[in-house]
Amino acid sequence: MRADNKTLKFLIFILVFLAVVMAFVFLFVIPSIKEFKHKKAEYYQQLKAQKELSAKEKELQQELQKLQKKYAKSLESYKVPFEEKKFLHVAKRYFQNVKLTQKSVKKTESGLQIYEFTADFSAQTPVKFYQFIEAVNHMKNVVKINFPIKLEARNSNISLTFNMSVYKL
Amino acid sequence: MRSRSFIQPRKKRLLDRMSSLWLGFIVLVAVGLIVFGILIHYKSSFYIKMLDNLHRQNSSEMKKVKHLQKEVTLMRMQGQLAQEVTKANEVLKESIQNMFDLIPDQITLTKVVMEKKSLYLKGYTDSKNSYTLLLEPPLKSIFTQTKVKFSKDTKGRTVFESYSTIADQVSLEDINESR
Repeated sequence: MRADNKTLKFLIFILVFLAVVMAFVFLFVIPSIKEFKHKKAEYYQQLKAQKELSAKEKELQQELQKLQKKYAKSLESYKVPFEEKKFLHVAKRYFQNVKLTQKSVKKTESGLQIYEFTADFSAQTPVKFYQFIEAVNHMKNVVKINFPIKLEARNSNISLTFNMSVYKL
Repeated sequence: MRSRSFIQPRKKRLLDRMSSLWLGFIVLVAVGLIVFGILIHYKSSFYIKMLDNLHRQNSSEMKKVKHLQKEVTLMRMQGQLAQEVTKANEVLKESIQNMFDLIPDQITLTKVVMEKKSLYLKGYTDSKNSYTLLLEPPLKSIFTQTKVKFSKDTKGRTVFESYSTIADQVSLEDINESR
């Protein structure tokens, strides 16, 4: 009878022990381990992302420096203020009557502003117009001659009307 | 008759030795599991803290990268635009030069309107034939459609007005660029 009691007690304790262990493992240890694993994985993922971002930033900065070198002259020319007086002074070398009328200012996708002008000049020969376009390409500003271009004979001169755009930052 | 014992009575323990050992063992294991759980939780909170910092750093890094990407795109566009403008002016100059080269000596121009895809010419010619033989063929080779109208001016000269157009896909600039 005594031996049976001991066995029963032993079984009860084993069951209690297993119940306690299971309860603590399922309620406390497993969720903690899960959370730990999840956070650890997330941490390494973010660490990897940080490394990638740093590499990307470095790469972009190098590219920016390359572009700054490559387009240094062009980029500088956008910053030069456009002075109508200076422009007309150059135009006077090729044309007699020079008149510039500002039409509008537009903003482009590239972050530049386009100042639109209409030019009314008069010349003795169309050759002067070719020479003027060449001179425009050598100006400090970025100036584009646009269509429509109208040339009309007026007495001994040619009246010339065209649109032009000045690109500025 | 009451039986009596000669042995001194011993204090009876609440739990016997075996039970105490078992209970102690169970409590010890439970405490061990709790400590283990706390340690893991502590480690998790360490990662959470580090993650917070990383998230903050990464979001500011991401902003920097986006800003740099925008700057690179703008700089490339601006740099290319300046080169395109110079090239477009050069092509335009050639277009005008080519147009004037087309005009034979027998024809004098009085008005020229150059659009991106059309050319209007007005002038006088010594005869209709001069226009048809000397100016029309080169115009037809460049433009897809050419219309001409002849009239006489007060001085009796033959005046022509021609309007030439290019199909939508190509422009005067494209033609000169490809030459």
